[in-house]
Amino acid sequence: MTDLRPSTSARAARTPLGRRNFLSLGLGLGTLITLSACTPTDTAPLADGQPVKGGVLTYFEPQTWTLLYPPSVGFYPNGGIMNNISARLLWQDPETLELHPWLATKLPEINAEATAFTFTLRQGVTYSDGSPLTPENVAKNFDLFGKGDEARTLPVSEQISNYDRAEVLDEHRVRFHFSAPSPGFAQATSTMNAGLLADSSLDLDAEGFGPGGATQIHTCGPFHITEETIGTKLSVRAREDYDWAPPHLDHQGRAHLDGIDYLVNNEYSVRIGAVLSGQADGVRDVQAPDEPRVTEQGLRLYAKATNGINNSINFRFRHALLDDIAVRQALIAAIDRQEIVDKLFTPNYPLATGLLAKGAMGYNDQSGSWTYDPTTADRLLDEAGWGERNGQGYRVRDGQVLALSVNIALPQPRSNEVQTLIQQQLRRVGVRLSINPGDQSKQTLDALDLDTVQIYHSMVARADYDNLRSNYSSVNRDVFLNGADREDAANDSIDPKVDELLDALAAEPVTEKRQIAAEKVQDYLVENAYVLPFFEEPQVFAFRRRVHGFATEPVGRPDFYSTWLAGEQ
Amino acid sequence: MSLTDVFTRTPGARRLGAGPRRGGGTVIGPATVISALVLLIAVAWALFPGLFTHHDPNDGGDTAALLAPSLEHWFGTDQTGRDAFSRVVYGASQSLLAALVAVGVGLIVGTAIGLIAGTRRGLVDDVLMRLIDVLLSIPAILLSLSIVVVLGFGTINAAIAVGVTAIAQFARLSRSQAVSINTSDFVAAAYGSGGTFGSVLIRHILPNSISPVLSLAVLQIGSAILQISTLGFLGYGTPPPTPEWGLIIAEGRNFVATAWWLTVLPGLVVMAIVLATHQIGNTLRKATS
Repeated sequence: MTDLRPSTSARAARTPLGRRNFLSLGLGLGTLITLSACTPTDTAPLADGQPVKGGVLTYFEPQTWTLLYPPSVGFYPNGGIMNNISARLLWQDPETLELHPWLATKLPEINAEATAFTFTLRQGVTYSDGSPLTPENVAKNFDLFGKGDEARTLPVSEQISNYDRAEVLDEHRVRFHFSAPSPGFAQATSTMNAGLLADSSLDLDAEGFGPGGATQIHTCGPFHITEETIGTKLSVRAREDYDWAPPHLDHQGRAHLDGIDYLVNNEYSVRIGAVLSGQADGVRDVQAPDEPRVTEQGLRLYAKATNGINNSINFRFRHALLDDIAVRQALIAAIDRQEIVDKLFTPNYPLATGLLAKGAMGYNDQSGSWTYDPTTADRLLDEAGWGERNGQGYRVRDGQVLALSVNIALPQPRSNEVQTLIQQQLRRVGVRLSINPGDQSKQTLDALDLDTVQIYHSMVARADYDNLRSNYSSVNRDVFLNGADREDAANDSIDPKVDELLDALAAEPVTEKRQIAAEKVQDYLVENAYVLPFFEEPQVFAFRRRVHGFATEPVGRPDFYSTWLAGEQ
Repeated sequence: MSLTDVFTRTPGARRLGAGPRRGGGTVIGPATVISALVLLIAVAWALFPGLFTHHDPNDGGDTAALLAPSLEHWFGTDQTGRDAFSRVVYGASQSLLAALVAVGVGLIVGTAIGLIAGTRRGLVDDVLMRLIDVLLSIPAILLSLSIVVVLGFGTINAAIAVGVTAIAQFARLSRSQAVSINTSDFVAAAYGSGGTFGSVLIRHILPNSISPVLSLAVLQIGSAILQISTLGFLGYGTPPPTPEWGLIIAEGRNFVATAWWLTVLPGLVVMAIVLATHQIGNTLRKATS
């Protein structure tokens, strides 16, 4: 380091000048900061010209990917990769949510009970290891996704219900059989969670799908994985021979980009700074306070709806402190959702009007169900026997403090700050909320323990009615910990009705009746004060202006197939 | 070089420091006076935080988030609308208490080990000091992280973890003192007049070796504050919402570009207090040597 201090003899004489220099430096810096905040730094043309081929897009993720086993790619960093390297049987339009053919030449033939689905496969499709797409291979894929493999610790896809077996009919056709109606299956084949894998990749175990093995994962999408640096970088490159884009799209043939470099940095200011300064092309997870900065500097800001379950907290009613509906209603009345949205977010995060986002299938308007009213909260808690207060002002009953714990949903936007605000709001009515500390793996583990986490903050997105089941059913994500085999909760505390309603929804073949079944589930959860939704969660991306044609699939994961970089040749 | 050398060597310090002298010509310069004032304020924050701010450190009420510093909110407001200055003021008790606990652990355990080793000599000395060598060979931050993971997160646990890393320095210093005092005539006389190991250790060796150890303790407070803030910054210290300096800085760092005051101003406070303890510790060290 250079020693900037003047020598002792010269110091006295030079002090006034030095001070003035220092002052002007401060003023200069101040001006610079102010200027850079207001003036666009990116002035490349915004309008879409003719797409050009070439260039590698650099894209920042906050967390590293964990598993590229398709049924497990709901986690944002996994999905952002899988969506671009895989192709699926069907393609779902992100705008209309309609299904269109992709690797299947037409929509599947479905029997009346929705227990058999027949797909006809496209010809000439190959995986990145050179092996062809065949009915046998497709059958092998869904046998794994539909049943899982406990020996290899590969779970069943939460999107596929009642899967029985696959049957190869001839060299182009494959039929899937189900033990009970599974009307959500057609949509399930369109999601990145059903991204098809080559035979060689289907033999991997959970470790093989994890970090360190990315280049062994062979898919048939527009990009394929070429290079991996564990924890920091993953490179995918365009497949020159890709010629099986969804026929519904205008763009056919290989991707415009030469490839994508997914970079990981867990320091937010580094990620957003890299894009604002032009060192990277794009970033996912722009935080609400930075949205104005991104637009003021002229960059592209995208807030893409995820069309799923809203960002919510779930009250685990099997815990002794939450088994009283009056307590749950009091907590709901004590939480000011409007304050959370206004203080922490922007209009890109609309206040929830139901358990599902407005764009989700099965949406049910329940906007009148959650009213902020601390007076009612106080009254309900007093009546429920929590009238006494301890020295710190928290409510006590039989010597027990009304103290609850909530997880931090690290993949969700500003979860820690949302919980900090709720902590303040609940303290005003005498309820103590502690926020469970720790990183992603600790949060995941703690959330499985009823004694550690009683209020569970989460969201999940899938553009189908079955999304409700994925989130609330005790056999899937089990946000309530409502499974029968729990040792830490009394058996009579289980609510079998939740699973009953969800199973009825998953088995209902007729679309109109599915909507009714979905509404029933939501009404039941709201009536019992099991859930409090906050806002419709978007995925917010920032891109440099030179990045054209950015799109997302139906639940907000990036789709770079038609993206191109201006100025690349 | 240490920053305090620069302070005490400035011409201004020499001029003003012409006044009171004590302890072999040590100068109490303006830097020491200012440092004492800074520490006094910090201690007052810890003891009577309500006198310095009327804002609730844990509840922002209706105040907007990320407001810039103003007369009402000296350090602005944080990401959930809480007054950042009052969080720093209320955080003083956590951070200073933790620093005292940390130094206390290091001082008591380290001095005990050092004195016993330096007085007993022989095999006991060898074993104890090799253990201390092992302790010194592990990087401080790694050691304190490992301990806090074992003990569990929290203010006092973080303080103990930091204290353990300070044991080695105290042990080495007090051992060297004990070794030199142990050879003095008055110690031999104490043994000769029937003193046991324990009584000589406590009545003669401890009092005569303690003053440099105490001035080291004051110096250590500064680095303990920093280390505890580091643990807090990494999320291993006080659980939120209780304000703690490291945590406050960590929570503000996502807003460095949009709300610099959330990291810079609390950071300056921590820096000033660490520098002040360092200055006071140095002055004490000079006064006692």
